[in-house]
Order: sequence, then structure tokens, then C-alpha cells
Amino acid sequence: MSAIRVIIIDDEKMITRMLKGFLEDHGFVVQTAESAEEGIAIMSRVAFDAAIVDLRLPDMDGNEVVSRAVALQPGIKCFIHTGSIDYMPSEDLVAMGIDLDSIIHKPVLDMEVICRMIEKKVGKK
Amino acid sequence: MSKAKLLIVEDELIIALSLAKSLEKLGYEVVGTTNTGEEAVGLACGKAPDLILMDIILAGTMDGIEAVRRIQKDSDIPVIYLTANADSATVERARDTMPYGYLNKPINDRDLLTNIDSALNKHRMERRLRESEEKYRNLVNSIQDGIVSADENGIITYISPRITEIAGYSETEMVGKNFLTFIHPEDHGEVLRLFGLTKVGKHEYGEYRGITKSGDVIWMRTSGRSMFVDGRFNGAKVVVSDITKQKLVEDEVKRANDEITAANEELQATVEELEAINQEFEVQNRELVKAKEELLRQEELLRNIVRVVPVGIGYIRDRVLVWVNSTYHDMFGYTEEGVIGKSLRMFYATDEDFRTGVRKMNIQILEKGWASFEVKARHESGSIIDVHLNTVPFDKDNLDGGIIFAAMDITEQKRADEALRESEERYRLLIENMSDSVWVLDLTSMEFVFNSPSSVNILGYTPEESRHHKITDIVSPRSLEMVGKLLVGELERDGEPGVDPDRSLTVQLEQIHKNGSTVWTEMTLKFIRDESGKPVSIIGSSRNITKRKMAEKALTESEEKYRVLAESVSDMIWTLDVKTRMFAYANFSSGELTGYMPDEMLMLTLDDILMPESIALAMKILEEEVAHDGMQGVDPRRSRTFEAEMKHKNGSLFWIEVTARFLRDEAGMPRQVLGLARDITKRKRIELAMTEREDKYRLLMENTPENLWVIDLRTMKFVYSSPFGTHILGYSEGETHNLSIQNLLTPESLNFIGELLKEELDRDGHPGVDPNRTRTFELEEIHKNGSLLWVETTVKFLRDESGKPYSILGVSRDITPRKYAEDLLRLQRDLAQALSATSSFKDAMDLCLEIAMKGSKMDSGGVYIRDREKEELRLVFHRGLGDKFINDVANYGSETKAYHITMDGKPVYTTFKDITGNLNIAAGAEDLKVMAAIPIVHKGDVIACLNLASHSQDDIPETARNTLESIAAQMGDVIVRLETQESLSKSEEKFRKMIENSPIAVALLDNTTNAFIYFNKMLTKTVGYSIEDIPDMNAWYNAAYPDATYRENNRKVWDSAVSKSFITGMALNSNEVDVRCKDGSYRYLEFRMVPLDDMSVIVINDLTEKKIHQEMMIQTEKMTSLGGLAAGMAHEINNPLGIILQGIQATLKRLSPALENNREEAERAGTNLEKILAYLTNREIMEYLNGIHDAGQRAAKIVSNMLQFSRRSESMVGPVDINLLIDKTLEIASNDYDLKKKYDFKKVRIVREYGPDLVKVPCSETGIEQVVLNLLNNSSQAMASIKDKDYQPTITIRTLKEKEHAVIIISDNGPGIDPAVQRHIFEPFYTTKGVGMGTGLGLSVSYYIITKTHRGTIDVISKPGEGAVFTIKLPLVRQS
Repeated sequence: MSAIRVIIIDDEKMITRMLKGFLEDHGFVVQTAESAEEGIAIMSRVAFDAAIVDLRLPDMDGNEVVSRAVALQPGIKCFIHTGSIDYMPSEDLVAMGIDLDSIIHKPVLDMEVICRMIEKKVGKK
Repeated sequence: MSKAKLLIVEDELIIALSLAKSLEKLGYEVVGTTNTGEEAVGLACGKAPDLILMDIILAGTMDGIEAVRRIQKDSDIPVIYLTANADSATVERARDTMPYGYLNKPINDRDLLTNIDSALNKHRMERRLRESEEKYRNLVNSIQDGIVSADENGIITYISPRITEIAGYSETEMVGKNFLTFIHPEDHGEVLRLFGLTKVGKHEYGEYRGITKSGDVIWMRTSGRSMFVDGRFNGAKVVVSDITKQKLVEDEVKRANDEITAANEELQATVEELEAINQEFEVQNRELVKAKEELLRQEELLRNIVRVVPVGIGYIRDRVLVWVNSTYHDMFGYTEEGVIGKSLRMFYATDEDFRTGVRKMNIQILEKGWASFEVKARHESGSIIDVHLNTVPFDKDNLDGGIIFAAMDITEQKRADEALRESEERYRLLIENMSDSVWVLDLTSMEFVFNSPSSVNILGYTPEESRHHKITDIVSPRSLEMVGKLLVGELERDGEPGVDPDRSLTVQLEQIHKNGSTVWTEMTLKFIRDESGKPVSIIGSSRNITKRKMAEKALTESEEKYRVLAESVSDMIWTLDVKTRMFAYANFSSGELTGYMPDEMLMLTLDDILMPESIALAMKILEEEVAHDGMQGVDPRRSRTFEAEMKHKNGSLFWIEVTARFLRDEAGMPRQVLGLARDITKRKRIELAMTEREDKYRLLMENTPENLWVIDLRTMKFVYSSPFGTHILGYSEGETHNLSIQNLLTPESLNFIGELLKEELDRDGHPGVDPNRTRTFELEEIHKNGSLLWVETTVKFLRDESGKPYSILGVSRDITPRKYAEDLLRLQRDLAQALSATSSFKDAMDLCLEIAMKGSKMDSGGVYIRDREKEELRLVFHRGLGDKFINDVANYGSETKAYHITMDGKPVYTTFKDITGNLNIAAGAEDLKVMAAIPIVHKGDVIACLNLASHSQDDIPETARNTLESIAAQMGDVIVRLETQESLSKSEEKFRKMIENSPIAVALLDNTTNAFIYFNKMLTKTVGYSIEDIPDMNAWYNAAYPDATYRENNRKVWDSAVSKSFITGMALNSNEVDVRCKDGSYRYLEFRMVPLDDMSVIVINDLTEKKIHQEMMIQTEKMTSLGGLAAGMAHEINNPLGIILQGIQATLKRLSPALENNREEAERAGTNLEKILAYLTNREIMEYLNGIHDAGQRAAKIVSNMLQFSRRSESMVGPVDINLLIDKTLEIASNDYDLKKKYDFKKVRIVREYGPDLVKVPCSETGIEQVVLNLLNNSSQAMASIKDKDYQPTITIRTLKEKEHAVIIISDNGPGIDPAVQRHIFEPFYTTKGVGMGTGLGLSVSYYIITKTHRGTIDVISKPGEGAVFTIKLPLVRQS
């Protein structure tokens, strides 16, 4: 049973770090990127089971990042991490498997839920 | 989130492309790039970008600013200018286009992003604002009032669109002009006055005229509001209402009032006129009655005179006695009944006498107009009496009119006259036959010594024979003895002194004729003496007086009789010598009459006793008679009768009637005149009186329009009728006598008179009943031609001597004209009254026609009205005519003869022949006999035509014509009045309906009593009060404003406004108040008042809905902006909150002993996890951390819910799980962040009873949330008022599916809602909460959301003390 590999792309450093720490403590292998560019660059080199993408990145729309990520790694499960409550995935994204269970609203009241969401989507290894 | 679409306009294509790339990278969609302004305009239009990035300097002829101007004309797209080195002038110019920002080249991405985002946001906000403003503007526009702003100089600076509608000018035509330009010149003064007031801050209402662009004059009502800047007048805002229509209505109402007043006055005048006519009639009538009474009095007098005169007076007609006085019937020994109605024949001795008498009379009357003659009449006892009659025909031209006569019994006179005549006859015979014989008788021998030859005539003896006779031979022994004695005596006394020796003796002797018969002789004897004087012989003369003796004997008898008579008769009998003209004889009565003794009479001449005229008459008659006496054919025994005036000895005068004839000598020559004179003074006086009376009587009878008549009570037939009376009824005099009253009276009148007669006969003779009483009444009589007439009749009984009524004397007067005039007057009055009571044209025409028919006795008719447009006469009403005929005559066009005849304006009365022939009207179908067409003229113009026709009458009498013309005249006014009235009432109806059904509430108030006169439907609908509920202003104040302070304030404001309004005469505007309606609810109403003369019109505008909408809009706007703010804030807060929350979680995770890694890291740090945890626990750090976590979590929830709640969307968002929604709402409620609230939702126990089968409901999530939240808040707030410690406030929420509805039931165990309050809870601004605690909108907005947005229902069931149950039902199937 290998650890689930997660990439977190968020320009808010503290969010990235705390989430990374929590997920790692949960047993996931976590890598972070502070921009979309960086994240895509990493994803073009490393394979991940899941990607947690902030919707509002300084260099790219989160949706776009997801599209790119799926393009790079078709099996990747993407999660949109957003502070907005009325975000709805576009049809393109829905086609890529992004549904309501792929949306993580900030602030995350119980991060265990994220773990479970990831594990559910990826499938517990 | 869809991408914002951008258009890039940049002359440098390189820059444009790179910009596009950057923008796309930043998440925008570039819908086009161009380097020319022209293209930019096209693209802006075609692609509809959300934002344009516009370079000012462009490739084409158009620069960026110009392009933007063009674009902005059609669409509202925010622009950001891209500038390189903009000079201030350009920037200034660009500013005019109101860009959302400037970007200086070179452009960096960060600037680009923030600028564009901010521009888009700003634009969105602006648009919203604009939309909101638009809504307001529309609202303002939809208000009928316009707004004009003017500066301090009166120059117009703004007009609302409504003004352009009112004035017809466009905004540009008005703005910048002085407002006086648009004001009617006559009102400039007023407007300037108002403006002046406005300048010093006094808001004034004005009403004046404006001129529209099309030149029309309009009335405006304005109220100005002055505006000040830094205390200086800066202009005015004026609210303008177009009140032209209102003015028109007012004018129309005023005009209608004036016309009605005028019509009333006219009517009043007519009534007065009629009354005046009526009075005149009454005066005339009184005079007539007076005249009639006078007449009756005189007539009565005459009648009494006639009754008492000693002359029999009577009246005959057709040889039948009609009337006689008592003298007459007594003369014949009859009673009155015995003679009246009898033929004259009964009074004549023989048929011959009767015929002669009648003939004599007729001849005389024909000759001289009257007759005087004697007749032999028969007394009742059978004896014959002589009667002298004077007769005069009643009508001198017509013997059929009856005869008045005066009769005198002259039997005694006649008899005396006859006797006289007989005796005279005898004398004459004697004289004629006298022949004496003379003889001498010797006394010694007693023998005849001489016998004259005539002796033979006496005794038949010749003288020779007689010579030998002895006296004894020829004288009877009786006579011989008598003669012997006589002779002895004479001889014895002869010679004695005093004894004339020449004396003669006359003796009558009975002698014996030769044939032996006895002959009476008269002998005159004388002695023949010798010388000694001794008688020797006797000379005698004898006369055969046998006849004389016989006659004498008879005469003595008759003369005895005669003398007794002659001396006893009152008449004068005399003889007059023809030559000497001296009286030869006069009887005793002559003396009595003349005052002279009969002997004295003989000494008198005619001159002494007759008046000169009478002498002349007498002499003339005498000469006449002498002159033609003896001529052939002249009766020698004729007599002449004449009247003469005689002088009494004492000088008094009297009249005699003289009948004279000649007395003749033997030769037949007239010697004397035998005369019989009768004192006729009395008769003459009576005659004179009678003549006078006759004249007077006749004059009265013939010259007064009275009908004098006598009806026999037994036969009930006319025994007399004056000529006038017969004329009235169309009968000739003879005809009436054959008529009984049945023929002359209508059944009603006959019945009436029958009863009257019975009544009078019954009471007649009773004590206290005046026998001379009269009764006066009116009767309807039938003319010979069948027409009816009215007579006024006064009757009394005529009585016989015993006082028994035998006839009715009546005086009738034709009062048909008066009656007619009365009828007409009454008709007119009735008509006027009836007409004034009817306002329906049809009723009025019906009435006029009915009365015209009644008044004219016609049986059918119609009314034509002239149609001026079609130029025709149209039958609008008819009666008594057949359908076919009506069809034929319904219309007469201008080409018809009937039309032209009518237009002549003169009444036409035609017969059937004329109708069919001349007028060409198909009257035949209707069998009309006569027709009347009376054009109805008003002010010289024919406006209608009254037509009457009869199927039975042959003629239209004058009275009927007068009636019809009078009615027609009246109808003219009526038609005009009704037409006016009808158009007025139509107009009134129109306005009434307008007001009645007006969507604006209207009330009429009586200014003097302050009582309400009228509420229209809308008013009652609006406030619920009917006029019965609110009789006056006081009632209104008490009902509408229950709060005393509010009421008094309002009353003051209203009263002062009203009094001001009255002073200025202008409308009172916009008084807005909260009014309590009948059902207890409150409505926000605007009051306006227009003062009229004696009443005020109050117009009420219900602003409640408008206010709700305004408030709701404000609320919505507030929520929207709050929502927008919250959304932005929440988003921003969520990130730091995420750090806090996630940080705590990560921190706690890293302190978790469960994590091996944590232990290892602790070991590595030279400690162990337990120690760390112990430390953290001991120092409460763990608790702090948990506290931070909890707080963060709470903050996150708040933000989340706030976002949910503020996320307003009017559109229905797909199906919503109601149960979830309620959970969420409960969460919001429990996180109530309103500090002002004085209750704690968390204390409330929540019981959820969700229905399992409730599928998702299509609804606006936020809307329902808002409703539920509202209900929860209300409940908890209400329950917080219960201070009981054991009280557990509980809200139970149930959801369930019920047929086609999702049902949410929210109930609490609070204090419940008072029923009075319950009715109003859904009304806006109704609140039981304190100031600042509630807006009063919560439930009304909820109601709005449920019922309007979702078409569901919401209701409440509550009892005080038992909590409240709100039930919401939402349709499961969404309805569009």
C-alpha cells in the first residue's frame, strides 16, 4: 500500500503549508506549488493521485490549472479549493470528473473531511 | 463564472495582440481587436463586450473619444482609455465620456487586472443603480404629475417626461426657456406672484392656465417648492398637475347647474302664469255668478208680478199652454194642472171659434206684430164667456217661438153691448113702421065724426065704415072702461083752475080690428070745445102700437135688464151726436169714470173729457167712418175700437178703450155714435208694464247666454226653452219640446240630476226648507250633433197656488268655454306638474300625448321629432294606431309633403279626404276620419310635431284645437328641456359613472354641515367605510385616526389647509396620512380636496401599495448591496479564516499522540509528547487552541450563512431540499448577529418533524429562507416575552407533502396572536414591536414572497396563550 500522492497549488503559503502538514500527518505524500506555473511544471515531471487547486491563483485560473493537470495526468483527481461559496464547476470540468465532491470550501472546518474526500476519490490504497 | 468579454481598440496592433494575450491569460475573453474607431463602433455593437479598452489615438479618422461617444449612444459599455502621453485637454475631453479608468502605457498586467475588475464591478453597480433609478424614474413618470425645475430667474432647468406629455413641447424646447413662455398671458401676474412667494420660501399652490405647443389652453395645478443653497434662493421645483379635464368637469357641472336652475325658474314662471290665469278666471267667474244672481233676482220679481196681476197671462206654444198665471186658469175655472200642456182648443166654444180665433190672431200678428181680439171661450162649467185677448209672439220674427198673451173676461160687457144693440134695433123697427090715424069723436053721440084715411091701416075699416062706428064697437070693453073713466075724470076736472084746457091725453087702447083681431093703439086725445069752452068732441090721433106695444113689452123687460146691466157695468156707455158732438146719453158708470154726473156729461163736448191726441184720433176715425159710410161692402153695423186718454173731472188722466158704431136715422144716415168705453188704465198700465217687462225679459233671455227653461215635473219634458238655450244645443225651438231631458243629458248628468231631484222633492215642504231655494250645478249636455257641452244650471221649483212644485225652472249657461278653459288650465297644470316630475323623454311624450288625446277627445296620435342631421321627422311615440299605419308614417323625409307642411310651423287640421288626397298619407289603412298636426315650435324653429287623429270624430272642434295648440306649445319647452336634460343627464351619467367607477376614491362633503354627501365605490373599497359608517367629518376623524394625538395633528393640518383652500379657491393637495380602515388595518392615503361652491370634492389616493413597493424596493436594494458587500467580505474573510482553522487543525494534529511522527519529533527535540501535552494542558494552551478552533468554526459558519442569505436571486433556483433549507435557516437563526435583539434564539428548543417523502421543491432558496427566518425570529421574539422560569420556549417545524404542495408548518408555544392583530399581520408596516425592533415589513415581505413569487399560500392559526401556527404551502409543480 503506497501513500497517496497529493499536490497542493495555492498562493497562500500558510494554507499550503498547514494543509501539507496535516495531509502528511495523515499519511499522504504531499508536494506544494505557490503558482500554477510551478504546479504545472511539477506535474509535468511528477505523477500525482490528486491535486488540490486554489481557484484563484495569481497566474492562472484554477479551472485552467485543473484542465492542464488532467491533460498532463489523465488519472489525476483534482479538487478545487475555494473561498467562494457559489462556485460551480464548468461543464468542461465536470467532464473531467470534477463534481460537487471535488469542491473544498474554505475555511475547511474539519480537515479530516479532505482526507476522506481524497481517499474516496482516489481509492484507498 | 463566465468570462468577462473585452474589446481592445489600439492603433498599434502589436500592443493590441499582446494585450489580448495578457488579458486572456488573466481569464478574460477578448472578443475583438481593432485599430480604428469605426470598426470599434461596429464591434461594440455586434459583440456586446462587457468592457472596451480604448486607445485615444487611433488609426482611422475617428479618435477613441469620438468612438466612445458613438458607442455610448447605443449601448452602455464601460470604457477604459489606454493613453501614452495624454495632454490635459485630451484627458478633459475623454472625461466627458465618463471612462471607468485610464491606463498609461506601457501597461502592466496587475494594473490591467485591477482596472478591468474594478471597472466591471463599478459598471455592474452602476447599472444596478441605474436600473433602480430607472424604476424610480418610471415610477415618477407614471405619476400623473409632472415636475418642472427652474432656476432663480425662472429659467427652466428640468422637466419630467410627464411635462412633455402635458405641454407637448420636448425637453429641449422647454429647458433653458423662461417658464412664463408656457403660461397663458392672462395668468402671468398670478404666476409671478406665486414665484415671488416661492422665492421667499413660501410654498404656494397655484392654479392657472398654460399654453401647449399646439396652442391649446390647459389648466394646471402646481405646488412649488423653493430650493436654497447657502441660504440663497437657488430655484424652485414645481409639481404640475394637468387639471384641464377636472376644470372641464367643473365647468360642465356648473353649466349643468345653471341650466337646471334656469329650467326651474322657467317652470316656476309658467306655474305662476297659470296661477294668474286661474285667478283671472276665478274673478270672471265670480262676476258671472254675481250677474247671474242679479238676473235671477230680477226674474223672480217679474215672475211674481206676472203671477199677481188680475189679467190672465200665459204662454202658448204650438197651441198648447205652456205656462199661465193663476188669474188665467181661475178665469176658466181650472186649476193650473188643468190647463198646462192642454191645447187651446179646450177654451173655445166651437171648432169654428177656435179656428177663427187662431186665424184672427195670426193675421194680426203678421200685420202689426201683435193681436188684440175677442173670442168666445168655454168656461169649465160649460158656459160661454167672452174673452178679450192681447197677444204678442215671443219672438217677433218667428211665430213658432210661442205667444205670450193677456186675457180678460169681457162676458158681462159683451152681454150689455149685445143687449144695447138689440134694443136699438127694435127702436129702428118702430120708427120705420109708424103710421098714425086721426079721428074726431062726438062726445054726445059717442060716434066718430071724422076718421083719417090711415085709420084703415089700424083697424081695417075705411073712414066711411068708421063713421058709423060707435066707440064701443072698436074698443075692447077693458079699454072702453078705462077710456070712459078717463073721459069722465077729465070732463069732471075740466074747467077747474090749473087744468089746461088744451091739455092732451095719451092713452093706449085695446081695439078690435075689422077682422076681429085685437089691435093696440095709442091715442092722443084733446077736447074740442064749443064757444063756452064746453068740450063737445074729442079729437084724437091713433097709432097702431100693437107691434110697439109688443116690442115695448119686450123692451121693457130687456131694458130693465139692460139698464141694470148698463148702470152696473164698470164700462161707460154713451151716445154722441154726430153733428154736435155732444153726448146724448151717458150711463152711470160714465159718471163714475169721468167724475161727472150723467146729466153733466150731456153738457160736455169731447174736448172737455179727452186729451187732444185722443180727440184727434177719435175725429179721424169718425171722419173716416163717415166718409166711407154707405159705400158698398161697408158694413153699416161695423164698429171700431180704439184707445183714448181721458181727463177725469179732477184732472187725472186715464185710458179707455172705446168701441164705437153709428146709430142711424130712418134713412140709415148716421146720427149718433154709440160708444162703449172701458177703463183700461189698469190694463194699459199692465200692458205697459208687460211690454216693459217683456222687453226686459226678452232682452235678458235673448241677450244673455243663459238658457231659461222649464221642465214639467211629471213628464220631465221641456215645456219651455229660451232661444239661446236651443241654439246652444243645436236644436230649433220646436225640437226641444219633443225632447225629454234624457235626450239632452249624458248618462252621468242624468243620473246626477235624478238624484238631485229626488233629494229636493223629498225635503221639499219640510220646515226650514226654503221653497224658493235654488240649486246650482254643472251638467254635461249633448249637442244635437253629438258633441258634449258643459252647462252650469241653476234650478228652482215653480209652484202652483198651493205651493206644490209642478215644474222646474232652470237657468243654464253654456260654460263649455269656461269649463274648457278650466279643463285646459287644469290640463296644463297637470301636464306641467307631471312633466316636471318626469325626466324620461318617453314618459313625458307619453304623458303629453295622453293629455292631448284626452283634451281633444281624439283617440290616437303620435309625436314626431325633427332629426336635423337626417332632415326628417321621426315618429318617436304613438298611441292607438295600428302597426301597419305606424310603419307607413314612421319617417317623413325632407322630400315629403308632410315634412314641408310641418316645417311651415302652422297647425293643420284635415279630414280623411285631405289626409289621403293631399298629404298622401295612407290613412285609409287606419280608417282615420280627422287628423291634426300641430308643429311644435321652439324659438321660431320647428322641433317636433304633435299629431292627433280620430277614428270616429268628423270634426275637430275649436276648443280641441285650442287645447292641442296649447299642449303643443307646452311640449316645445318640454322637449327642449328634456333634450337638454337628457344630454345633461347623459353627461351627468357619464361623469357620475366616471366618478362612481373611478379607480380613485372620491367623496363629496357638504361644506356647511361637514356631512358627507357621497362616497364612490373605490372609497368604500379602499377604506372599507360606507357613507353610513362615516356620516360626517367628525365620524371620519374618530374612525380614521384612533390615536388622539395623531388625530388632532391631522385635524389641524387639514383644517388649516382647507380654510386656505377656501380662501384661495384652489385645490388642496397631497395630504398624506395613515388611516385606519374599517377592518382595523391601516392604509397610507393621500388626500386632495377641491372646494366647490357649497361642497368639496375629496380625492383619496391609496399610496399603500406604492409605499410597500417603495419600501420593498428599498429593502431589496439594501439587501442586495448588503449581499454584495457580504459576499465580497466573506470571500476575503474565508482565506484568513482558513488559515486560522486549518492551522489549528494542523496544530492539533501535530500534538496528537496518535501520530507516530509526532512522538518521534518530540523525542528528537529532547522531550516527549506526553510532556508537551501535559505542559500545554497545564497551561490551558490546549483549551486555548480548542477555543480558537471553535471560534474559527463559528466565524466560518457565520460567514457561510451570511453568504447564503445575502446571495439574492430573484430567479427560482432549481429544486431545493426544504428540510436542508430549514436546517440551514435554523443555523442562521441561531447565529443571529443582530446586537439589538433582546432575545436569544439558542434558548429555544427546536423540534424537527421532517416528512420523509418530501422531494425537492422548486423555489427560491433564499426567499424561503428569508420567510422561515422571519417566522423563527418572530416566534422567538414573542416567546421571549414570557418570563416564567419553567417555561421552555419551543418551536416545532414540520414538513410534509400534501397533494401538489410542499407544506411547512412552523408552530410555537408562545403567547399567541391576538385575533385583532392576527388580521393585519401580513399587512405592511403593521408591527407590534417597539420602535427600531421591526420594520413591519417582515411578514408582508414573506407574504409577498410566498404568494407572489411562489404562488403559494401562507396563513396563521392562533389563539392567545396557545401559541401560533404558520402554515406555508408551496406548489410542487412550478407555475410560470
